[in-house]
Amino acid sequence: MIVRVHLFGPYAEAIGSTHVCLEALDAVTSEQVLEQLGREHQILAPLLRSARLAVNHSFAPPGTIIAERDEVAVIGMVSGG
Amino acid sequence: MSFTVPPDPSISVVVVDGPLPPMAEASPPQRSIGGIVGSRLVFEGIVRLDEDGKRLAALNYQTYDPMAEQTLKQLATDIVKKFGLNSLAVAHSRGRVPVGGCSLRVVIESGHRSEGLDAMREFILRLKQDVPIWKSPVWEVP
Repeated sequence: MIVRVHLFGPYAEAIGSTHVCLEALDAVTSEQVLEQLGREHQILAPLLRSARLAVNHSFAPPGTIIAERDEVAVIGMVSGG
Repeated sequence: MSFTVPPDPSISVVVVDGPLPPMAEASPPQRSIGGIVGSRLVFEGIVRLDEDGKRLAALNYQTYDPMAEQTLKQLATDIVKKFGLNSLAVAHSRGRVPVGGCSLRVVIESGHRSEGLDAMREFILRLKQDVPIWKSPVWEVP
């Protein structure tokens, strides 16, 4: 299945895009999505060490299973305020 | 230390486009009425002129909507409960905020200053860890 991952801030700047699409196995977990993202886009790998995934606008607890139509976003290194 | 949560604490969360309006134009917190509030703290984050020695024209704030507002609301609820606040109001900017503009305002009312000060510090620290808002510099053109 295809997982579309939204990127913001330094993540989007590093890769030059506000999203990437990953070809993932069914029943992929949030941790596996982050790992795959780092493997396929190595420029993001250092930034992903402190990142979390949000799924459908909530932080994903460990082991969260991602479905194809979920809205997935990388949240890390935020800088509000 | 534990606090008793007031029966009806007030929580207000808004994300607005551009700089926040001056305090006089913002809605005042309501819990100061009735004599139960002994402390009101106001924090304002202002865009500075320089960043790392370079001159800024503005900061551009990007929010992940609606998660930014949802996360702010959950954080405000957690902090009100943890510190037993009477009210917490937070406003954050989205988009361009020029130098000198206000991009964050937090108003906390509590029975005493101690819990209000602790709550303010923790709220801002957690905002900067958890709320999906990013800022990027807009440099001044020489």
